[in-house]
Amino acid sequence: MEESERLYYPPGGILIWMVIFLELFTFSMGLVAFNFYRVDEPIIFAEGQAMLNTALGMINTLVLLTSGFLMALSVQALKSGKKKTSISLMRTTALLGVLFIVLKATEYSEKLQIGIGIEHDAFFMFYWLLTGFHFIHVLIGVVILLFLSVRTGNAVYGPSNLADIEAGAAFWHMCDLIWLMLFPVIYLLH
Amino acid sequence: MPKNSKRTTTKTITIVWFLLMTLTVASFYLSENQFSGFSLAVVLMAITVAKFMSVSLWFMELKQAHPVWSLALVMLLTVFSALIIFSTG
Repeated sequence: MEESERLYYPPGGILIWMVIFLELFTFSMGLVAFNFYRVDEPIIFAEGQAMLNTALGMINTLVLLTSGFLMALSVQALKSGKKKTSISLMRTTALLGVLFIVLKATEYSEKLQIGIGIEHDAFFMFYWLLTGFHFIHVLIGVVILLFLSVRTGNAVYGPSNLADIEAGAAFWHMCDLIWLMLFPVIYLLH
Repeated sequence: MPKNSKRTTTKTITIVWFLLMTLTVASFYLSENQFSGFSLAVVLMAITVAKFMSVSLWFMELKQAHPVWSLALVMLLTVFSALIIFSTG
């Protein structure tokens, strides 16, 4: 592959990578703001963090990382012409995405049942906004993966036509990357 | 793509996945039992950078792209990590 091609066509294409950088920048600055607020209101943030289920957060991290692993294998399988394997891996990836959504919805439900909404305090304002936007990204990611798996089954994609699959995979991995920033700062740092 | 290229193998991806799982559990353990404040921020950000770049380079196959993409990610991560550590300390 030529240098210029490697520059302008990263895996998934330049457009998805522009989106990825924009998203990562936005979430990272949100987290930096969160941490600066933590310094101003240490007690509120410590109390808020103590109400989070850190073990569940860790399990969700493991779920997302495993889904990313399977998606990477799925792309690799399609490149090797193993269409059925690729589709199975893609659907299992989506299933793990659904598991993440269910676990996160359980966590949200627990908070809402005891009256902790976005207006509770500064900690939970950031918590709902940052994890909520990420939650929406995962939802969209699952829909994209299912759509791509159906289209792969219809022979739209294959070893010679991978651009959309790579872009979809990049979007899914972006959900991973965002969570890899959210989890330590919101759940673990104290 | 030539056989001697940087194409990621299943074995490599599996090793990276295992490393990511281990680092995730380690960060949870360190947060619960060992560190707090500035030292925890440094350790957590170091682990975050390692996990983040592992996903980018091997799962997203960024190591096959032009190095400028990896460099841009490293720069973003460096600024993010530095600001988190600075605001914690």
